[in-house]
Amino acid sequence: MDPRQFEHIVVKDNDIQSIVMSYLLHNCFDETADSLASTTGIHQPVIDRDNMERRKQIMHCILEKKALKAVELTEQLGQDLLEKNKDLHFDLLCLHFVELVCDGKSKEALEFAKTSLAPFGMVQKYVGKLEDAIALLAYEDPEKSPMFYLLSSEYRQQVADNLNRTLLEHANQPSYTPMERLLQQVTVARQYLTEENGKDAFPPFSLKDYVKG
Amino acid sequence: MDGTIGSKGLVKKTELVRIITDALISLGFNGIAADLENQSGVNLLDPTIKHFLDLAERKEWHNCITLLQEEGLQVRDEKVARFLLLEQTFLDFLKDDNLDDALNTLQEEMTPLGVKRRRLEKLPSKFVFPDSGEERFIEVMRKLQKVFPPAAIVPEGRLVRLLEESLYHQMRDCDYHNAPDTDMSLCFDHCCWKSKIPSKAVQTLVGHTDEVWFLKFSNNGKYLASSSKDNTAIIWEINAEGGEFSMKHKLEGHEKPVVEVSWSPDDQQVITCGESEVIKRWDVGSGQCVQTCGRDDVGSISCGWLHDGSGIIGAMADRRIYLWNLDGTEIEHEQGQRGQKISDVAMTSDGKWIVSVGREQNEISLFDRVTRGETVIQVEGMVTSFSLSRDDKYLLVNLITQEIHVWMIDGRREPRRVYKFSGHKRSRFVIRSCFGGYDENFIASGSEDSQVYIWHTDFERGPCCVLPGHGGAVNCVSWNPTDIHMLASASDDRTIRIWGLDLE
Repeated sequence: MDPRQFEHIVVKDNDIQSIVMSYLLHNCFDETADSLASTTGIHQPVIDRDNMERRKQIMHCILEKKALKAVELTEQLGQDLLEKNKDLHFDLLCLHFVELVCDGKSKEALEFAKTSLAPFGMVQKYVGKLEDAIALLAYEDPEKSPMFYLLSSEYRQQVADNLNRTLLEHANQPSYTPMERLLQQVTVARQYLTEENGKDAFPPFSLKDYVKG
Repeated sequence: MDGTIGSKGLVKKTELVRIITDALISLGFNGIAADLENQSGVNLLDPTIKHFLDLAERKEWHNCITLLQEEGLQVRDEKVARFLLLEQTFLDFLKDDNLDDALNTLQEEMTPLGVKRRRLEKLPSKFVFPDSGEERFIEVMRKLQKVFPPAAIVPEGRLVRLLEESLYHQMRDCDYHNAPDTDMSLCFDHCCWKSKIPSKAVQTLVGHTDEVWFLKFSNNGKYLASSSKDNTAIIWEINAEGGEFSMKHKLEGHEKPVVEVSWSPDDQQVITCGESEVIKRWDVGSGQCVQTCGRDDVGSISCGWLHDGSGIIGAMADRRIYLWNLDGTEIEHEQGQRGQKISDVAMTSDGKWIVSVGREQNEISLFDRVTRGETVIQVEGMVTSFSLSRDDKYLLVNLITQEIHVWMIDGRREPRRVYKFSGHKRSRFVIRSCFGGYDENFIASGSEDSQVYIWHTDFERGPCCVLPGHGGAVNCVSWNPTDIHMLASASDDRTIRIWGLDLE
């Protein structure tokens, strides 16, 4: 089969809608998912609505700077979940620390660091981020510090995504959406084809540019 | 006290006075030092800087900061100076559990300075990990001293250090330097040129009745052991007053020519190796043979001591190396049968390596007794003999091509050849050479043209001295390890010559 003849492949509407639906459910866009279902008549897969509700709640906690509440809710879902995912646990606790610092509660932040974060300081891989977080205290205005990335919403989103995936794994559901997988595969396939034809034959594939059209 | 002193205009008078003041203090003459400061009007240390350092010693950081601001102290970087002082106040607040003041110092006083960002960002961690990396006070004081311009503070012992550098340069500039350190003086420039190389035959030792093949000084330099084709070895002793050698013992018992003599680390005993025969151990005090080692089926080629004197090494004609305890029992030796006949063997003084040479091929083996691994050095020609330096770092190798090579074998890196010497003659016999002289910077060798050759390792081009006098090939030389002005040579003319300084 010649890869350039991709236009001959027939893609069914149903399949596309399934992919979009799975994406929405993965990211807890429950209202949008309901809307899509009722508009297209596509059958919503049998998923654990309760699980999705909880995940949605937890994600929002993180984005709304309530990391400790997110931890509490996660532990309700599975007691050993955070124990088995120490990296994630660390990131969440760090977020809480950062929240305290931003609220100007320096002393409380220090207390929290001593009790909850210090144990992580013994492990080499956490030391860097921990030092970065604590270093925020040197600055009256943490936003102006070189470690401001810890305060950004992008970072919080990243942690939230990680937690989402871990929660899905814990519930024995796939942690990656078909959409993501397909896009990953497309990127690799295009890259490979470009290289096959010689490095300068085609420009490197950029998903971003492709989507722009 | 303005201006400079000296012909080159490089030495500032005020600085000279200051380093002399410091030298006087280190010699214990505090009173004279104070007088010098008074009379010259030049202070060893600027009074304000002295005040600052005194306050720092007493950890009065706030006063230091005030002094810095108000007295306008000359510093290299004011912000860095403030930072270091504030850092100390921060650490003090932490120690007192005063979180508010600590945070305040950090956020409102230190961060705005905009210096030492990496150091700054490590400080908040001390809230959470209080025991991490506390700096020693001596380090803190050192950093504070560096806050001032370089000439503001005279390092302790500066004058002596400058003088030592000068003497050291004189030594380095002295080609063929072979004088003891006690010869160096501040009162005149040193230059010994070749005058300190032993070059005059001060004594001829007669005692052997045939070719003398080997000789070696004891570790303490008081004895000389020689071995000969006449089947004997002789221990010579130096007379304390005259500095002359006389025969102490003749070691008789071998029935073959004695090819080698080796001193135990404590110089109480020697071992002798008969040519394709046995190895005998002798007590130096009595001259008696206390042990004979060997194997019935195979003869000895070469011998050596275990580094701690607890045993003997023998290289035998079956191409194996054997180790014996002093009671005669054999010790396990892991090195297998060698590919070629072994001609020389030795153990390094740390007990780690056994070095051996094969006769037919151009290889030297370094056997590691700990890892049981072997490093093989490929030399450019057949090896006839070798010798180790006293620090075990260098290997002297005599080649059939009339060259002497020096290899560096310091164990941490790959062995590599560092020097090549030539000029002497060798075509038929085994000729031996050795390290010697000041810092073992010289190489001495025998030669078939009856002369002793001496090279300095800085000058590979050619020997710096050639000593005639023997009536036959010079087979072996040994440099006295405790007297850098004494060399001994063994010759086919049946004599041994002791070489010393030519004092004319």
